[in-house]
Amino acid sequence: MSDTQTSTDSSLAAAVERLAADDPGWLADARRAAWAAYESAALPDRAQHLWRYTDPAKLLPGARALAVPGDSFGELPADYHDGTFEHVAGLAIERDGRLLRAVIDSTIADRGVVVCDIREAAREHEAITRKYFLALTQPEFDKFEALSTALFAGGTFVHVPRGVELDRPLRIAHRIGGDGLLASRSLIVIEENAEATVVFDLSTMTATDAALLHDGLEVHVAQAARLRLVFIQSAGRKLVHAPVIRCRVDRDASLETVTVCMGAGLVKSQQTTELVGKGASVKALGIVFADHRQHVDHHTLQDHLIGHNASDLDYRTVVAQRARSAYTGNLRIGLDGEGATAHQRNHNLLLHDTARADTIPELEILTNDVVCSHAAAVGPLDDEMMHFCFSRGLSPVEAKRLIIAGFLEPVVTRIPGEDLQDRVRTVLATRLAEAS
Amino acid sequence: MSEETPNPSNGAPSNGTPILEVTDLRVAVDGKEILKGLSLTVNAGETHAIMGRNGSGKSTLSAAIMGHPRYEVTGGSILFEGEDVLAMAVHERARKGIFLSFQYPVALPGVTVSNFLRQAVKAVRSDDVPTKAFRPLVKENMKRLDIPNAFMTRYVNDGFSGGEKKRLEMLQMAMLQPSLAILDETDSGLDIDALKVVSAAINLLRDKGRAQLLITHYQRILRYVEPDFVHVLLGGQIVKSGGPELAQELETRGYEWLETEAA
Repeated sequence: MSDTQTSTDSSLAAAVERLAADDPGWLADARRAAWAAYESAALPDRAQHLWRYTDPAKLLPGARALAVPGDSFGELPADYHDGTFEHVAGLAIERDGRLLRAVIDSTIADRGVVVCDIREAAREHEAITRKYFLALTQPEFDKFEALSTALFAGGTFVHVPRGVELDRPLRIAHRIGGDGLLASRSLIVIEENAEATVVFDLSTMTATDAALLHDGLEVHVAQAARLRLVFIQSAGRKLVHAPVIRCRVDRDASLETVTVCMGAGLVKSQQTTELVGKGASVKALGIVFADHRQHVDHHTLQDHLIGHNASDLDYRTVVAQRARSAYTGNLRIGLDGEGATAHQRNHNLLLHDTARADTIPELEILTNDVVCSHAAAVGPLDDEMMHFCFSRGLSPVEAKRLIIAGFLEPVVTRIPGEDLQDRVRTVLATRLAEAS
Repeated sequence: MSEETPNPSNGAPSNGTPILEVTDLRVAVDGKEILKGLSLTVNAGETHAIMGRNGSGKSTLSAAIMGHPRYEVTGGSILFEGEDVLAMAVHERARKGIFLSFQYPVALPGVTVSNFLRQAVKAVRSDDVPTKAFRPLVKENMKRLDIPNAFMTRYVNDGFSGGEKKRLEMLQMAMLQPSLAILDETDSGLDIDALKVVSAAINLLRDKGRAQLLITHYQRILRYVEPDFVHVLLGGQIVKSGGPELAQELETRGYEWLETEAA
């Protein structure tokens, strides 16, 4: 560290060793293997579907040094303040990719539910962590997943044992500070016939924090289990955020994801879901709101490895000013996918001529007897809807806000809790007011 | 809140200025002239019916008064209570007291009926409906128009049947209390119960300070809402005007005789 001539990569290599020293051997080995994979992997090819709209070089550490995670958090949003477990099953706070504290309702803890930092889990709950950690990431380790695996300072571990049903959400508030490189890996395991709702709420300490966050999450939803997974991202406009979310949904299980992407300057998000059993049901809802010069790129894959199951995706995008959104959605139905139902929709509203949205659906269907649909649209606000609102006395600005809020509302209503829904509505309304 | 007297005497304006004065109006859609010099005066307290076949220009008249951007006014004038309507933005027309019940109301997905009504009332009647008065007023009007409570949490016209859409149009009209209500084929395709609801909504608005313009294809609704004047629109102009008996005549004789007369 004293040697300023050290190249970033060699200081990162040293960081891998420093982190590995505190990990159990199996995890230390995984880190080192990941670092080797990172070093040997070429940058993704921009001719690929996945990287057509975002330059992968922008996700490299570059001049950024690996940051030491902070240990302060600041005020929690008002909708967390309650002091009871009436509305939440548990509450965790994460700073710079490391879980600082978690408290869960004792009645839930008594039933074996665990919420803790992933590195603590690797020591304290080794059997389960070892079984699932990286199970969905290897062997197709892409360069940036290798990076987050080599360098993760921590992350959230959630384990809900067999048959345990949480009737309130687990909420994880995550704050990012500074302008360094941050890496985090989280793992959620919902065992057979269990049920949970997990809300990740990502923001920055200040509006000018310009960190680069490589953020990996693996999600296992076992047979007949049910998970709702909510991501609310309202970071400052300097953050670079590269989440990779990999989900596996087993027989008769259901997963609903709700993604609300409002902040950060550059977002490159990948979310893949494997349906590996019959009767599985996957729903992916998304809101993307981008303004100023934000660049937001979402990729999804719904992968039906087995048939007789259903996936349904609906991403709604609003792009204003000079912002840019790209959505690439892949629907894959494998050779054994007979009887699968898969729907995908991505609708984009452009509020200004300078805004841009690209939407590219991609279907790979290798078997017959499936039901698939995809719909993509990019356009300005609907003139007839605007006229209808005007005719009832609403001004152009009022009409625009009402129609856009309505466009996003079906996704907002899938966020658990009125307070949290209202916070998202308020942020969206404020941003809309600024953008119009 | 405003005038109490229902069903005032025919054609008695509350003051000298007509509610609506259309003079030599010419309107084109996609470059094609549809209205070819239409003139019409509607005084306060009057209900007028505009009848005519499909394609005669009936809906064009209502769209032009409300200010739909696809309808280009190429000549003539429209005055509302003496003011130049054509110089007003659409929402200003609504705020002044013009209401159009659309033939095909559009859906606003994600916008609840309750939220929409609240915003519309706030925009149009903020002076006489304080925030607190909104809810009782909606309840009262829903009861009058036989609209179930479940409407309030549904999204505006989203998945509504034809009859439900028309009822919601009538609820908006009842909430906004327009000086000039234009009903563009609101009666089309309604069953008898829905037709009675629509008629009741119109009759509730009939008083000496307001006027209504019923645009219709059929004489059926005029049994429930008796107009003071009936006009026949043909080829973009009013070719005949009369009292309610003209509607009866159209019912029995059809429109052909007017075509011959006009030719």
